[in-house]
Amino acid sequence: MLVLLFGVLVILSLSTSGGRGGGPVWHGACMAACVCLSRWGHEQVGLACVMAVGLAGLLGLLGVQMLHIPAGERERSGLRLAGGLACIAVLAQVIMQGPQVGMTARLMGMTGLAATLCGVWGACIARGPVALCAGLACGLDGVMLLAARVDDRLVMAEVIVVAIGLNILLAACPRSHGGKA
Amino acid sequence: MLPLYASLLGGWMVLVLTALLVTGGTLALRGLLAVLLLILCGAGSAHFPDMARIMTGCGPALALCVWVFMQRPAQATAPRGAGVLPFFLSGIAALAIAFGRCDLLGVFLGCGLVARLGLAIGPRGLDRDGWQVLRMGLGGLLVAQGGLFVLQAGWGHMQDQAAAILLVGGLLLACGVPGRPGPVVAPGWNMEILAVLPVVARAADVWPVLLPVLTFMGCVCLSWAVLSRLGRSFPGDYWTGWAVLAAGLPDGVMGGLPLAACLLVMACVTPSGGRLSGSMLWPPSLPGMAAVLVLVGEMGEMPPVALLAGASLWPVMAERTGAGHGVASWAQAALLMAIGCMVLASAAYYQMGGGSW
Repeated sequence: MLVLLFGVLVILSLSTSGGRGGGPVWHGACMAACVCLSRWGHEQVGLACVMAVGLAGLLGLLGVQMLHIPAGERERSGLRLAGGLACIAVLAQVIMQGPQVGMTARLMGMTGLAATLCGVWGACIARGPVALCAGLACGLDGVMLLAARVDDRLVMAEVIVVAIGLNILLAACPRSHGGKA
Repeated sequence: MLPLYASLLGGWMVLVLTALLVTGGTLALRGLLAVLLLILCGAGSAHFPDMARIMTGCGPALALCVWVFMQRPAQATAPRGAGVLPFFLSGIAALAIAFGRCDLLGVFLGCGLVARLGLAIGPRGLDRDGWQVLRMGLGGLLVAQGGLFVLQAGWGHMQDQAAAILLVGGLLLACGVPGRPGPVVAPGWNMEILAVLPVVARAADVWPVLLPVLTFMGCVCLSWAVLSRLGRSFPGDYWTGWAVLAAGLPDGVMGGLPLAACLLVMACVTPSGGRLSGSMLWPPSLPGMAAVLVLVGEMGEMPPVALLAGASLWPVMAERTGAGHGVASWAQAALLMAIGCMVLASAAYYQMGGGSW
C-alpha cells in the first residue's frame, strides 16, 4: 500500500513538475505537508508550520508568474529531472531499511538535501530565468525541510525572504521575451 | 565587546552610505572612510592572541584601502552605486569575520548578493550578468546551507565528508571563485572570499573533516585557474587557490600565518592594476612565497626559508618599476613590499617568541 502510494506520488511529480508553473506549486505543497505532519507528530504545531505554508504560498505565486512567461522545452526537461530525482531519493530511502529510531528525521534530511542539490543543479544547467527561478525554488524547498528538521528559525526566515526576492525578480522580468535572456 | 564592535561597524556602514550617496564621494572622503574602517578593524581584532588572526581580521579593510587608493580615473565615470558597493561589501565582510560563525555566513553573503543584484537590475529586469550572479550566489548558498545542516546533524563519518564537500564547495561557489564568467573582474571581487576563508578555517577546529576538503578544493581552484585561463591570467584566481590550500593546513606550529599571508596578498590584488604576466606562476615570485610559507608551516623550519621568501618578493618590485605607470604602480609595489616585510617580520617574531602572542 505504501509503495503504491509512493508510486502515485512519483508519477504525479514526474508529470506535473515539467508543466508550466506546476512544479514549484507541487513541490511546495509536498514540503509544507511534510513539515506540518512532522511537527504534528511531535505535537509542536507552531511557527514552523506557518512559515512552511507561507513558503508554499510564495512558491505558488512564483508558479503563477511562470504561467505568463514562456518556457522552452529544455527548461521543462531540467525541471522534470529535478523533481523526479527528489522523489526517487524519497523512494530509495523508504525501500532501504535502516534503524527505525530517527528514521523519519533522517528521511526528511535526505529528502531535503536531495531536493537542494537537484534544484541547484537544475538551476546551474538552466538557460533562461524561468528555469533558473524554478530550480532555485526547488532548492529553497530542500533548505526549508532541513531547517524544519532542526527547528532553525533564522534559516526559515531567510528562506522566506529569498522566496519573496525571487518573486520580485521574476515580476520585473519582461513578459514578452523572457526565456531567451 | 562583540555587540559594541558590531554596532560600530553597522554605524560605519550607515555613515558610508549616507556620505557617499549624498556628496558623490571625493577621493579624500573615500580615503578617510576606508582608513576609518581599517582602524576599526584593527581595534576590534586587537584582542586576538596571535598576529596572524589580527592580520586576517584587517583583510577586508585593507582590500578596501587598496581599492580606494589604486582607483584609476577611468573608473570614476561608473554609476554612483557601483562606487559604494565595495564599501558595503567590506563592511559586511568585517562583520562576518567578527561574528565568525558558519551559520551566519549565509546572512552576510546574502546581503552582499542583494547589493550586487540591486546594482544589476535595470529597466527590463536583471541583465545577463545579474542572472549569472543570482545563479551562482544563491545556488552556492543553498548548497552550503544544506551541507552545514548535515554537518551539524552528525550522521557519521562518511556523511560528514560529503557535507563538508558541500559546505566548502557551496561557499566557494557563492564567492564566485571557480566559475567567474569571463576575464572581467568586478570591483570588490575579493571581499567575500576574504571573509569566508577565516571563518571556515576556524570552523575546522570544530569539524576536522573540513581540513582535507579544503586542501582538495584548493587544488581544484588552482587547477581551474591554470587550465581555464592560460592566455589571460588574473593573479587573484591563483591566490584564491593558494589561500584555500593554506586554510586547509592543520593548526600546527605556524598558527594561521600561511592563511594570513595569502589573504593579505589577495587583498592587494586589484582588478585593474594587478595583471602581471606569467612570472606570477613560477616559484621565485609571489605564489612562491605562499608555497614556501606553506612548506614552512608543514616543516617548522623557519628562518632560512623566511629569508628565501623575502628574496622572492624582489621580482614583483622589478616588474613594477619596469612597467612604469607613474605614482600608482610605485605605491602598489611599495604596499606589496611593506606587506611582505610585515609578514616576514611577524613570522620571525613568532619564531623568536615561541608563539607566545
